[in-house]
Amino acid sequence: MRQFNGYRWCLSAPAVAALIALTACGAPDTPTAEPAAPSTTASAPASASPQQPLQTPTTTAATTPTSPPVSLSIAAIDLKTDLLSLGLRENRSLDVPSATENNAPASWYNGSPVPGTVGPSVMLGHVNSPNGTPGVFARLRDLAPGDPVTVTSQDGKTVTFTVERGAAYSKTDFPTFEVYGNTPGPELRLITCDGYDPATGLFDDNYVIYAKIRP
Amino acid sequence: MNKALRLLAVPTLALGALALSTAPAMAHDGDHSYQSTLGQLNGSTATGTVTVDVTGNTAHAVLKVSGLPATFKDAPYPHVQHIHVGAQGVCPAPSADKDGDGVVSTTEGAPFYGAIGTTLSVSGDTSPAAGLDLKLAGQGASYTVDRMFELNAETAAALHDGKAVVVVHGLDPATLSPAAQAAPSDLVPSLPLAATSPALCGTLTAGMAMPSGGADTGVATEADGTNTAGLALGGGLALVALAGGAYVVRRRATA
Repeated sequence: MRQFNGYRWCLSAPAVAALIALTACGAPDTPTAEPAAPSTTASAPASASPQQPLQTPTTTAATTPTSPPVSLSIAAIDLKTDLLSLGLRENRSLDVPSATENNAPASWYNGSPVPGTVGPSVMLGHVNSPNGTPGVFARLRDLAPGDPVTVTSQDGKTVTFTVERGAAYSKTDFPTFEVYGNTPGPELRLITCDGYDPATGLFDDNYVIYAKIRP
Repeated sequence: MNKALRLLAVPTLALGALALSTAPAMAHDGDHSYQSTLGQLNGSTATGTVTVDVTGNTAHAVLKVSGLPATFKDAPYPHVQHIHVGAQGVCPAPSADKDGDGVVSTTEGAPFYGAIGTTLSVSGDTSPAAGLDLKLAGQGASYTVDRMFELNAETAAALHDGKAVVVVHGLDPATLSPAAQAAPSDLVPSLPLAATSPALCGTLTAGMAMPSGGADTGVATEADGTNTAGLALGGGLALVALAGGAYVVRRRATA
């Protein structure tokens, strides 16, 4: 059962006949597979309630993962992929894996928490490839609540998450706090594109899988 | 208090204990980001979020609010907001209402969130001195304050220590008790209590530098308006048309 939270659609763009240059969705940036970034500051849980003192993270130095993720595997959709480490573009949008390479790997947003530390760790993958074959995250929509997602880090350790839900959002009304906002525990966000518009050849939406660390 | 909330020359004295004389911050290494989903105070039904991204000593704050009272005496309702510092770094509970008028005033909340460290004005001065300048306030029910400014020492320290609290002010008088409706503001007695009392509040906590939106994770393909199944995905996947002319990626029902 795939629960959709807030299914919204962009107004369809005017029809364009010619081949569209790779623009809005999937700009042809070469992947900047950067060396492992240091882990981000572990985020304290959000505290908007009255008179709640700020809580400190409960993971200890001995158990807190610090090694960046290098691969992702989701057995339910036969997925195994390496993970690039990417940051933000100049305009503060997410940098993405190459859109000119077929079957490009997924990436981890290295400004988000190391998977297994408190907060939502963000991973991206294309839904399709330039030659028309499926992209690395083509089958995210097939995931069901309860499906395990395993992340392996550079030091060989693994962390497993459990899929909670999936939701599609229009890119022009993307809920940044819902997707990127602090969480009480370690979580995962898997993001790909959706909402293909044949009139423009572009994808108007993002599809996001939410997963929480397996207790 | 029947005055409309118009432009007001506010004597600095009115800010009282809420204004700090502030100093420039010392250099702070690295980039840090902070965020808050604002909670409601004093019966407010508004919502809001705020992010503060700090690079060196420069902060970029983006505050988005909606559902605040829209008008006062037929004019757009001016709402001031600040980063408060120097106290417990939390939002007050209803029990903070010491005088029993049903409203936690800005002064009654100060022991919890502290004095003004930065004014989140829509433009211009961001120092505490601008804290009650209604010309620089957000207007109406929904607005965004998007500012870049140099951090003073008090605000930088509060952010670093997890004790910086964003407070958005301005309540709908009609939602208050008769006593509170009749009461003057504790900060500016010529204004009603509703005008300057807190509506939204949240502690800024460390978090990731949020991307500006979603992800460009679809490869643009040749556009063909007449081909309703234009995207060949292979692997048993197909495009399924939805109402409105858009498509989603779905697995074919049959192998």
